[in-house]
Amino acid sequence: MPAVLGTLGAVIAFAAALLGLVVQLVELRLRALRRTVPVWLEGRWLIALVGAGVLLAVGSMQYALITHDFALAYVADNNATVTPLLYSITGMWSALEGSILLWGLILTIVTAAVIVLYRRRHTDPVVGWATAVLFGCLTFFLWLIAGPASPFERTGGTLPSQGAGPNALLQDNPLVAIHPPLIYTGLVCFSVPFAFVVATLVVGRFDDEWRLESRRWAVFAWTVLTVGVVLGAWWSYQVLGWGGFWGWDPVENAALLPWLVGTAYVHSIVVEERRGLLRVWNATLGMAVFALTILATYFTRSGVLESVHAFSSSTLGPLILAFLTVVVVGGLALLAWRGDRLRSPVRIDEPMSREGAFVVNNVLFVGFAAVVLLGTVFPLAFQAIRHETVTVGPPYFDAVAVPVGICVLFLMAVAPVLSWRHADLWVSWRRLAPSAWAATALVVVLVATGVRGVGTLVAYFLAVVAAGAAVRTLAGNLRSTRGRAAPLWHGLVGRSSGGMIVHLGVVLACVGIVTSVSFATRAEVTLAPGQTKAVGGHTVTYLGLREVSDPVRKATQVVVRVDGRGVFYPAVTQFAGRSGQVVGTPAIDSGVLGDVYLTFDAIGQGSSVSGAQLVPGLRPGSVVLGVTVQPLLAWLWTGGLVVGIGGLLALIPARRRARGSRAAVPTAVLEAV
Amino acid sequence: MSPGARRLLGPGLLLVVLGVALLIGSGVFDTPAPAASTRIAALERIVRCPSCQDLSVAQSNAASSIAVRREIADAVHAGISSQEILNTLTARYGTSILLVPPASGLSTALWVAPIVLASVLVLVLATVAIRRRRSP
Amino acid sequence: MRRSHIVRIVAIVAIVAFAGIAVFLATRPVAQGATQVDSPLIGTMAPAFSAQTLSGTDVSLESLRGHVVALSFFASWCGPCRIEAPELATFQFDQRHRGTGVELYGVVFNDSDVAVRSFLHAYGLEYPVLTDPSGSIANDFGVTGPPVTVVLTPGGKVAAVLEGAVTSTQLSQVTEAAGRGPA
Repeated sequence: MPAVLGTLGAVIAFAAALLGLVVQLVELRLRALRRTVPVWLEGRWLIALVGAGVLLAVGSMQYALITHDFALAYVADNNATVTPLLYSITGMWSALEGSILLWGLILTIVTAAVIVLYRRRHTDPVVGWATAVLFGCLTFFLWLIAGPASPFERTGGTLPSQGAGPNALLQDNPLVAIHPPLIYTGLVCFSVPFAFVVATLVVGRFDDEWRLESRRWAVFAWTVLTVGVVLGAWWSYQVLGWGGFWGWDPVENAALLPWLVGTAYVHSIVVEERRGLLRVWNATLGMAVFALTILATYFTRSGVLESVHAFSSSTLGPLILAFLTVVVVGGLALLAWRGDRLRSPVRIDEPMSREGAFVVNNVLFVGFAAVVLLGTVFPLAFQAIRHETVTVGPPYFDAVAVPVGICVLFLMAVAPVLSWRHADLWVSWRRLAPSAWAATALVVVLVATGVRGVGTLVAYFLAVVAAGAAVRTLAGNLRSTRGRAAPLWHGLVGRSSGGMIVHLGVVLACVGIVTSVSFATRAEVTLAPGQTKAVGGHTVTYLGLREVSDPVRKATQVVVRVDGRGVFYPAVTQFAGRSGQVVGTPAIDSGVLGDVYLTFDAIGQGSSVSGAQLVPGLRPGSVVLGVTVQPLLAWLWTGGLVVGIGGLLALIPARRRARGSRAAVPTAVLEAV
Repeated sequence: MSPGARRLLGPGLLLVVLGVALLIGSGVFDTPAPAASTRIAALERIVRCPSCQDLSVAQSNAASSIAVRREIADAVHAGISSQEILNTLTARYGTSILLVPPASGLSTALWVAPIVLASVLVLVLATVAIRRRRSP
Repeated sequence: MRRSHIVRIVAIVAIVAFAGIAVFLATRPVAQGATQVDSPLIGTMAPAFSAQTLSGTDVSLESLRGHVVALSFFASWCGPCRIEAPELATFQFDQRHRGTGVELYGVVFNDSDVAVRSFLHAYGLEYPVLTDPSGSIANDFGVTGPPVTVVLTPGGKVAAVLEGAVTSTQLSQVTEAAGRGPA
């Protein structure tokens, strides 16, 4: 029953989206010919039908998951009778086949939001074209859901009495409820700036109003995506067992690429807004971010980047690639057609200015994205040419990321104190001097206490200066609200203040990353019962073993006391379900000053313990624990949270700033279709 | 002293202090760590754990990873060059055992690209600067 | 004022470049079954080993001489191994039915006995499975990630190494060739 209803819902949604696209185009044509369009012939109403279809499809899948209906192959592969409610619900997106439903749902909601938000201006061709573009995207994804990528396939053969259960790594941590929806929301929301860029290019208009709207969506999308990526890293850290949080694997890189170009975009649209510059570049970036989100879908769903050991699936690859081609070629064609008329007649005055810093920011982020893309697809190209398998892993990406990171910190330190159009070096120095001296003092103290590593020290120096620059700007904003007798919170919202809070979050995260990577210590400690050993400034005591058994899991836990205070339970766990996967579940003692990460690696032979590696030669009863100490790692997660807060604050409109600083730029207005 | 020169005192002093601190901080005056352990650490970071997808032998504690770590340590203490060690491992497991392709042939493209892009950055800035100098 | 057409030129160049990349990506071959790799072990005597099966019986490489042997390195946590499992079941049934004498052995790759037992039970696999707790067998055969199937000739030489999920037909062809080729 859910299979039939689900497929029906998907088909209805697809048909409605296609119809919506067609009707919207007809409506645009009629309006261009200055004919009146009857209310019932407007394309936007069809979003309601799309929504109904999508809700039916999603509802059917959720119903099947919650009732553990193994007639659906997806449910049989990702759910078990003992799976708790939360993980049944999140099961819809914990595997690839089902997650496309989540994408479709979010895209539908976003399209509906666009239609509702701009309903008063729905006769404007820009809104009309943007709606059409969004309907077009919906048509594609809903077609995938209704057909080639349908998650509603029936189980072959006899119905199993027990499902395989969710992947063991995905059913122990509630973050699975938040991370994929956040990532998908961030990625999908980038469709809106794309739709508006395309619309303004087609219509031949590029005025203030739509720029501001696009910027809001882009900042929202970027903020959500950042929080999603950071949560994903936190989740892998908590679950995967190797103590790291970012592996530079193709799927991670696929989500990083739109984020990097998105960062460039949210900065360069500020330049366009203030000075009317970089229009063509912005139009390109706006379309590029969206194209990269489709590329991310392509990489994750086509299997083209997996190692030779993976069983490459699908027909899905060429289909998504075709859509990507339409998006990229279409966007480039629009630029080829209209781009030259879009260029602003004004140039950047000089590199030593706020605009110059933003340009450097853009080249840096886009360049880094290009290098990450190169590294990710390099094995594929290499295999095609040389017929050999190579891996491009962390050593490469880390080597490139470090100089980029230093440059980013430098820009954050310097840009906020540079003036627009022309920055006076002396004035800029005066603004930075206090933070620069504080930073130098910090470096001297660190070196005196024995900290070594030029890269690390330079990073700390720049981090302090960057924090100082951000705080200085924030203080200035707060002071000016006091001067205007406005409530204090006015100083904390808006682009400038929100942006500075985001920078503070980034600084925190960078400090966390630099410290934990530079000063992490790993050790394997062998402990007899009751024994204590010291690792990296902390002590671990082995107190004993504990077996835990409930319907969902069976685990053997090691009881460990860290630093004589907290007790933690790194374990080896087997989750219920047909496949009975056994995984190591780490335990983490997280603190402001650092994390102690514990894994249960091995146990002496002679103990009847399921799952852990038996190491002959180890005294029975002794355990081997993996201990990783990572200082200041929690600052990374905190920094991500601050970025999220700052981004949301930036979206709240501040008092409108004086327009005097904007260069007067004549805008040609063309009506076309 | 001219006001211009006086202005330079502040930043100048800061740069000197910072420079000295960084010089000491680079570890150039410390007794060097034994060459063997740095070599071992460097090798362990580049060699992929044979039974894992993405982890280096330094990061993974799978049995095969421990075995390879022991092998690397023995070879380094026996005085075998790093390149030799990598060659032996590549001959046994194939080129994908290294987390970074050896910098030869086609793989040089990987390292050339970031340098090219960095040059682009410099070029863009230079172009803007030159254009500004030319126009009144 | 005559505007330059630089944007148009750059855009068209970009379209052409992208079209090339798209064609390249679209023509990547989809994996059909496993890939036969050019392992340095082919033609050489297989590295000797001695291991215990899950049920405790001792098996050594020498005891396998005299017929074609397929060693399937797998793990319960490996996705393609699940896809391959029904194919291996079919393969074994097929070989028994036709009396070819080809023997199929599983080799556990970096996994625990408990998980492997559940896996075998779930997929109804009945062939003997060798444990490899130290990973030395996998290391000696150059296996760095499952699924990998190594086919040995009756004389104990490595005839073929297949990386990826095999299909029953594919493995039958390879084992047949191993039986006919040099011992």
